[in-house]
Parts: sequence; C-alpha cells; structure tokens
Amino acid sequence: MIFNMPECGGCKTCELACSFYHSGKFSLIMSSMKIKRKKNERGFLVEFIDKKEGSIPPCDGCKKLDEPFCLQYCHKKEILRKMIKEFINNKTDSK
Amino acid sequence: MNNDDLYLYAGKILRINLSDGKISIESTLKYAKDWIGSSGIAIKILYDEIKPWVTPYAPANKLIFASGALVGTTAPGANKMNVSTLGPMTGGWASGCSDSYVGGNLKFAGYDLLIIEGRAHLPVYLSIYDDQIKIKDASRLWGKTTWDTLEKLRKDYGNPELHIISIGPAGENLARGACIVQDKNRAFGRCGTGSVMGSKNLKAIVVQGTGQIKIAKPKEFMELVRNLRGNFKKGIVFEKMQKHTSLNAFLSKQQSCGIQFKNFQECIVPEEWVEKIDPRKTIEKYEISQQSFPGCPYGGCGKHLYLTEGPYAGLQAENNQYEVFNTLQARLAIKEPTFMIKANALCNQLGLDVDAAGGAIGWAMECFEKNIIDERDTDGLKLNWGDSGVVLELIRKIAYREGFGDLLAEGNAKAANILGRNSSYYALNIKGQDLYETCRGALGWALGAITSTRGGGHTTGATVAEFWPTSVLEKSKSIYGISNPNTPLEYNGKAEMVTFMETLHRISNCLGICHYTTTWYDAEFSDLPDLTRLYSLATGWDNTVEEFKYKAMKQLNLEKAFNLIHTNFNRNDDMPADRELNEPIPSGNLAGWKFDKEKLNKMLDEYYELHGWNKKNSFPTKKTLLNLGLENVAEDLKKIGKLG
Repeated sequence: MIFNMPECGGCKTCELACSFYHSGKFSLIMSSMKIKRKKNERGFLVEFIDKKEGSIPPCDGCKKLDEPFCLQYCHKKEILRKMIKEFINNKTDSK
Repeated sequence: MNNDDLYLYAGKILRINLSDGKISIESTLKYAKDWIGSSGIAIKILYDEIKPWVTPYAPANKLIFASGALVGTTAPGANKMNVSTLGPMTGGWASGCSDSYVGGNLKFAGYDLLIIEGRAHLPVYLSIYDDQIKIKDASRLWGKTTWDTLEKLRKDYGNPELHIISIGPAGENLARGACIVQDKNRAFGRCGTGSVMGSKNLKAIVVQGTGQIKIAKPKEFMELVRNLRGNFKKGIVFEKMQKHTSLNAFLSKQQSCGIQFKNFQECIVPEEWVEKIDPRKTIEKYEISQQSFPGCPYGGCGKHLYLTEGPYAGLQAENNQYEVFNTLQARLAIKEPTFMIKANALCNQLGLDVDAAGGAIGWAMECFEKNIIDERDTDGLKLNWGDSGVVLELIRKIAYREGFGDLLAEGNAKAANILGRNSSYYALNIKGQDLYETCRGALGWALGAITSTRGGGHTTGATVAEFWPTSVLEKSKSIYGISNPNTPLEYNGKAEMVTFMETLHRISNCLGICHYTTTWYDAEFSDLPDLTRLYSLATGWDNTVEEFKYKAMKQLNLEKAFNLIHTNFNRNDDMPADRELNEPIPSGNLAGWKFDKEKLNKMLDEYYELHGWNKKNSFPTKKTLLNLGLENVAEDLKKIGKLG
C-alpha cells in the first residue's frame, strides 16, 4: 500500500529503524516500509509491505510496541502515524 | 577476532586496481581500532602506500572512498562519506565529506572503504552489488554532466532509487578544483578530488547492498539515539536550520563582517542590497519540499526549489548551502537573488567545486578591475563585478578548460603564478587552495582555517562557538575548557578552542557524523562524549573521550607528516592570505579592525606548543610523534630533515 507524503524529506531513517525492529540489525532489505522518490513532485512516497516478499517482512504496525518504531525516528510522525493506522485498518478489513 | 564477532563495521576493505582490473579484499580490523574509520583509516593507508615521488594524477596515486563508522545506523547525522587522496590543489592531503545514501549502501554491500588504484585504459564506471564487482565501459557516459549520468544509470539499471557518485566534465578535464558529486546535489567539495577520479578514467560508482550492520549493545544504542535526537530541539539553531538551512547564517555574517564581497575587498554586502539579496527569503519563496539524509535530526538542511520566475525560471534543484551564497554570489557581487541556486546547480552538473570556481573567478574579476588583465586575456569577455552571465560562462570554461578557463582551472594561486603581473595579491588562498573563509574579525575561525592540513576550510578545526550567545556561555566554557569562548576578537584561548575542534571534526568525520549535528554548530547538540558513547555501544569496544582525543591527534599528525613529505609547507603557510593579513576591515560593524601580527604569531606559537610542534617551522617533534605511537613517521621526517 502506497501513500503520498509531500511533507517527507526522504531521510529514510524510518527504513533503518524498521529493519532494526524486525531483525535487531540495520539492513535495507529487512525493512517493511520503503521511501520512494517522486518525479518533480513535492515529498516522497511511503510504501508499506503487506505480504512477505522474499526476506522482506510485512508491516504489522509494530504490534508488540506502544508506538511503531519508525515513528520514533520521524520528524512528521503524526502524519506517518495516520498512514500506519490506515494501512493496518485496511489490512484488517481485507481479511 | 574474526568478522563474525565484528559489530558496526561492514568488515571489509575493497581494493580495485583499474590498470589491471585486479580486485582484492582485506579486513577493516587491521585499521579500525587505531584509526576509527573513514578519513582516519584513509590517511593511514595513504601515508603508508603513497611514495614521495607520486604526483596527484599519476596512476600510483590512490583515491579512497570510505563510509563513516556509524553510517548505516540511525545515529543522529550519521550519513557522511569521505573521499581522501593526494590532491592537486595543495599537492598534499586532500579530503572531503558529503551527505550520502551511497555511504550506507557501501556498508550494506559489505565494505567500509573502497580504494581505487591505477588508471583505466578507457573510461569506466564501477558497479558494486555485494560481492559482485564489475568494471564497466563508461564510454557512453564520458562527457555527460553528473545529472545526465545519474539519469542514464537509473534508466540502465531500471531502478529510479539508484544512488551513485560521479564526476562531471570538470573532473574528466582535470580542472584542479573538480569535485565528486553524489546523485545530483551533494558534493565531496574542496581539494580537487574529482580531478583525481578523472585522471583514473573513472566516471562513476554505483553501489547496492543487501547486507546488514550489527550493533553490539542494541538496546542501549537505540535508547541513546532516541535521547540524543530529543536534544536537538533545545538548540538555538534548530528552527533556523529547519527553516532556512545553513543560509540562516546570512545576517549574522553580515553583522560580523564575515562576507567576502568583491573578492574580500569588503567584508559585508552593501546595506542597500540586504533586503533584495537575503538568501533566506529566496528559499522561502521557491521551496517545494525538504531533502534530508539518513539520521538527520532536522528533517533536512536541504530544500528542493523550483524557480518559477526570473532569469533561471524552470530550474529545479536542491538549495545551495550558505557557502555558495558567500563564495559565488557575494564574492562576485551579483545582485540577482536566484543566481546562487543557478550557479550551484551548474557547478554540481559540471562537477566543479563552488569555492574553486568562486576563488578563481574572484581573482580574475579583480585583476580585470585593476587592469592587470583585459579582454585580450579573457577571450573577449568583460569580467565586470556582478555580471552573472559572464560568471556562468567562466564556470563552463573552467570545467572544459576552454580558453581563459584553462588558466582559471588551475585554481587562483597557480593561475596567478602562471600569469605573473603582480596578480598574486588578489589570489586569496591557503596552501595553494582558493580560500573561502573570511578570516578577519573571527580569530578561532581564522586559526582553524589557516592551520588546516587540507589548505583552508572550516571543517578541520575552525570554531563557530566564538559567536554563540551568552545564554550558552557556561556550556561553551565546559566544552572548550576556557573562560572566554565567546570572544571572536580575543587571541587568547583560540589555540585551545581550535585544538578541541580539530578533535571533534576528525572524530565526526571518522564516524560519518554531520558537523551540523554536533557541538561544532550548537551547544545542545551531540558532544564528543556522546559520540564516544555511541561508538562504544555500537562496537562493543569501550572507548573513552581521552582515547578519542589521542586518536584524533594521531590522525592530525599523520596528515601533517603526509603534507611535509609531499610539499614544502612550513610555518609561513599557516598564515592568512596577504590581503587579510594587511588590510583593515573597510566598513561594517568591525570597520578598522585588522590582524595584530604580533598577537597572531603568539596565537600560532600557543597552537604549536599545544600540539608539540616546533614553533619555528611548525614541524612535529620526535617526542610528540613517539607519544602518539608514530615512530616510523619520526624516522621518515628525520630522513628529510623535517623533524621539529
């Protein structure tokens, strides 16, 4: 599921944090979120992985934590929080 | 210890010889404990492997890319990659850092450092994907700008997220001030590393990696990262940086006479220009989004801008840092506020360092003003102050070494030597490299710039804390251990401040930490003990602040020795440029202030004493080198008569 995030600066710290949540290590391929470039438009795209793709785990909204791990490293955390909520709700609804 | 027990580091150094295609791997562990990472390991390798007879463009020179040790983690500001080599501007140590995604990718591919040796017979680029290393034909890329190179490679790889480093025409044509560019808008500036890459026929490097970085004490590490990130909002500059990036410095530089208007003839822009030229307003007007790099606690010191009007309408680029405003816009007296964005974009496209461009063009414009050169020298161009079109044309000519640009591509110091006609006075430089730093009226800033081992620059010792407000005085005193850190015009105490900052800058570079996130920039940001703790938790090796200081001084002494072997530098080369040394500040708040030569020399004496260097010639003493475990260096310097 892909969200448009015009406010994102593209630092990708959330990706690193996400991989750390899943694997206890930093690794670009262990992140269940991807920050993607847009062409000539404001901000970035945020993609949440909903099904396991190879080694990439699906995003579960960090259900074991009070607050999703990526949010703890995002400057626009409230916007990201809404996206995760929508993603998780959507995932639950489609089951 | 084998690499399975290794934390934080990727563990390997990749060595590629472009002359014979040989690829080899060695362990980072050979160097990591003594030299920490990045620029520290790089100078050790350069010192050991570059013989005294090697020249910058010789195949025997080596170009070393390195990720800072903390790069690839969430540590605040951990995104810097370094490139080091024997440089063509000063003839000595050349080193520059850049914000980067490539640095992280290099570590995820399994490598902390990448050493480029030899020279390819034809233009090539490197493709690194974990352990698949390919030297590929770059004939279709040669001649392209860095922006076109990126687009072409993204298309070829079918990956719009691909990150690369590349050179532009300036590097290919061996303009001495050529730089290396990451993607489109971030450069390994200064020192001419791009021309060394060009001399090796290496156009670009693509790095992708699927590996991982392990942390020795993950829970404590992440907790410290979160705590440190929480501190940033307390910083005085935090909101200013978020809003206006480093261009926030404009008014304070204007008030403290830190602007190099008309090639340092004035130290402010004319007051009637301030309203129109204010770069903060320019980025507010044209910002379309932020740009930041991994770990950035600001959410970005970059802004994507889209110029919707004016002479450069249609240009979309990331904003320049403050330096470009000073070195190209103010130095060349250009009033059009969007010029800095256009000039920065053009320099990045051509792969030309902005300061090398500003330094050479500033010298040429003043020579033209003073009738030292005329249109017969300049291919018919009238080099009048403020002529933006002429400046853009000169930038292009430098990159292609075309006509008059061939002379300017030498950098102002060498160009003045070639031209003669008593033009050297207007070629403001330190150790042969075009000077950016305005040294008058800021003594800690000046001392760091003039003694810098890379030839000028404010990221190897210069301090900005002398301008911090009194509200952080106590904190500042505790950082620097002196009673008067907030007195830019006092000579006393500056040697201590610069010595501390030499350490902080080096440790930050070795760890890959952005200087804008440390106590170099703001008293509330990460300090040396914080960086030490981050590194210790990540590696599992208990390092103390004192050990870090020792290692930083060891690195500095090796940089110094590398310079002594490859150049003729001595104390005379640790002095401000002649204009700065001899002329008073002509106008502004510090009108009439000039260097007191006796006090300046005393400050230098104190600086050398603190370092254990001989005051007469600036050379390290045997005792100093032995204390740092550099016995071999002491022997080397003794052989060439340069032991202090």
